Amino acid sequence: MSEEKIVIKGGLVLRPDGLHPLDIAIQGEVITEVAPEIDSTDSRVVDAGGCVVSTSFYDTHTHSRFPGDPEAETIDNLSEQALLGGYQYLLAMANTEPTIDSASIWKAVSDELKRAPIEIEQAASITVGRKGERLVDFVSLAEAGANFFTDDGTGLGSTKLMYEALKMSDLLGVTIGQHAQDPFLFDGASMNLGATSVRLGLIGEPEVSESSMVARDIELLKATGGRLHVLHVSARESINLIRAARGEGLRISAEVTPHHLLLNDSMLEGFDTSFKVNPPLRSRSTQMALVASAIRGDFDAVASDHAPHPYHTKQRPFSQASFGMIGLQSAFLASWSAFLEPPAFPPEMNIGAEHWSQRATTRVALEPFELQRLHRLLEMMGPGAARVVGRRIAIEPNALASIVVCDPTTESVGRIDEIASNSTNFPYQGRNLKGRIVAGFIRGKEILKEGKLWF
Amino acid sequence: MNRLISDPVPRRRSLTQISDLSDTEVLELVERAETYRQMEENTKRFSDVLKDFVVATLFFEGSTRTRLSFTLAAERLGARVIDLGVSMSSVSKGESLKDTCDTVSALGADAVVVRHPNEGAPLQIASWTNLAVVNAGDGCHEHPTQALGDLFSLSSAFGGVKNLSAKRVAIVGDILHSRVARSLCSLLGRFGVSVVLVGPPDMMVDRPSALGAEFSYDLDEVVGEVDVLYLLRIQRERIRGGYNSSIESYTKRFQLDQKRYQKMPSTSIVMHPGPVNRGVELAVKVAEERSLIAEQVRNGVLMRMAVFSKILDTAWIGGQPQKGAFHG
Ligand SMILES: [Zn+2]
Repeated sequence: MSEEKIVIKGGLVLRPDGLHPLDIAIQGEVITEVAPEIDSTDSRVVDAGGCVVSTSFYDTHTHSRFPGDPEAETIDNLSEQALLGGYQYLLAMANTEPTIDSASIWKAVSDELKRAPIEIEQAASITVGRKGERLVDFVSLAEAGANFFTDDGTGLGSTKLMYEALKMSDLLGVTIGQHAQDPFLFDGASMNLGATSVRLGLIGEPEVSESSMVARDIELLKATGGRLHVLHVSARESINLIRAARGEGLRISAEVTPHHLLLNDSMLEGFDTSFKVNPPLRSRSTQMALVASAIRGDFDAVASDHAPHPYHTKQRPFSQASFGMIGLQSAFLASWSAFLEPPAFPPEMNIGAEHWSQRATTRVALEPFELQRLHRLLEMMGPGAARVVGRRIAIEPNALASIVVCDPTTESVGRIDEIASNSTNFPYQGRNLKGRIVAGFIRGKEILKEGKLWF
Repeated sequence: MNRLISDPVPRRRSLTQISDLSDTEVLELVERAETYRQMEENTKRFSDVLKDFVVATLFFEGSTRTRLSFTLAAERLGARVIDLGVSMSSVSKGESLKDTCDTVSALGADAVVVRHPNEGAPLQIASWTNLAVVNAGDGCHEHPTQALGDLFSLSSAFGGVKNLSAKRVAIVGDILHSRVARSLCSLLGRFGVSVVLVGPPDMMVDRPSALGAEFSYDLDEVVGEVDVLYLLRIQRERIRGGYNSSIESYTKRFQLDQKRYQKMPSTSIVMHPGPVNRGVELAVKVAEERSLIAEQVRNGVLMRMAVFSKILDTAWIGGQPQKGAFHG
């Protein structure tokens, strides 16, 4: 039986070196051809005019709340948000109820997650019950199939246990994800330490709480080998440390979240608990530094840190409300809005006449420097994030046809009733956002059409 | 679907922090308080502009003094005051603040005076309900009516708010946990007062400049050049995690004792939000004409009267109360 041939025409396609005016042919589950003008006779044409065409996104940081908290989120709701947000893959954190801290729990949960229409990979915790007292059985978890270990939700304070975990990582070829945060400096804090926390009288966490742990972990990485992924970077000094470590050839990767790129701690002035998140929103100047750093290419991935919470746990006094925001479905929009904020940097102004982004402007109404940033962002949301979890994805012949089509110029206003979550802790309510996820294919199957689910 | 912050609707006026008020409104409050003082001195009677209004006091944290000051202020203007005793346990259990608010709304109160151990709670209540909320102190955030009463006291002592420009006020004590200090900084800076915050490093905020203030760890360096020395109560109950300094080392360096009192300029004034811990922050008999401490209590009531009449938008001294007409 010959399957329908689909040609995605007229868009700018994500390639390692830029966004190029190309067409893509799909047949069955795979991409059959990527070329400037593909003959579409006998094919169904998907018009990608004015849009960019990218590999579907990978999220290296999702709180699935499964098992344990269906009031906050279900696998169905989570999958729906993922598809609407352009994702094909989520890495689920281990801070569930119970904690994913043994091979049997990991297997049982992973089997349940297989029924989702996207791939959800389950991470395991580093320590039993995420208590920071005793390592999990790394060997049996790795043999069961766990690739990523993290105590996310809290930083692993014990230098000794982190040392041991990185040795296990080196032995087994698995990755250690650190929520870098010194438990003593964080103690009691509900926001960033800065001018706003001083005015509000809330206990603030200084950025050095994060960067001091990043520095320690890098030293441990040098001593042990292994592979370290720094979750949700939010401190300026962390960036410098990670760049230097990468320069030394250490196996280190890092992610940044859309909310740390788009929001800052001045938004807490009204004590709105939607903006309470951990690590906390930083100052405006750190926010801008994170954006500049992301555009420059210091991060491997943009990760949602999607953290649904039942309504009542947010409707409390600020210092007692739960930490976390939902942000999977809106991740591309929020990040792209943030990427558009800084004016063109001097290096971006000096694009030579032959640069791809100047030719590419004929298909999408953006400035050359904006197209370069868009290329960077799509790289971080797709191939870069996939590399963090050891995968390679690309838009190329014979690759799986998991593809997302994004319109980067449409504007909309964030509305919680358009988000498919069970939870409402959405920080972009009423905020102008740029971009739209228009169409999506997962393994050749069209699942998103005109921004709506379709299957 | 539930919302954390409801859509903008016309709301009743609240006073949750000093920044809720414009400079003009602050001056109007001082003027109203002054009028009430004259009424008090001349006739000991006030008109019942708050007749038909119900004011609820909702204290999630014990403070008889503050509650009575608000109660007296509202009753003097003819309001009915109901005290909703809130058990501390409901707070520590993290019971939804919203549920409590819904109860208060259902009781038909026009205004609610809120004291809460958590920062921002009065502001959250104001955003979730259509109640006129007066913040009577929220954690380490603000205590706006205290600061407004103190501004009124200062204005009286120096012959008007305009005379406060370029005056130097030192606030001494546990700045880090002081809602009074935050409200005072926010308020006094607007009228040209230069504020210096004084206390040991473990009681100092991380960025005093965020409060528009200078700071010093050395009272002796500051005490010779102040117009006003504002001593804070050393509140052991507000301390989270404990201090590095002992009470002995605190008093040695930051207590107003005889030696420091004599170093103060002869025209300078001593203030304290009360109640004073004798022998801790203050260990000297301050001459009556140089102490505003008793005056602050009296002025606090007069200022709270001004705040009620202002936020409930009634006439201040007579005429028909215009219940139901709100602005802001
Ligand atoms: Zn985390």
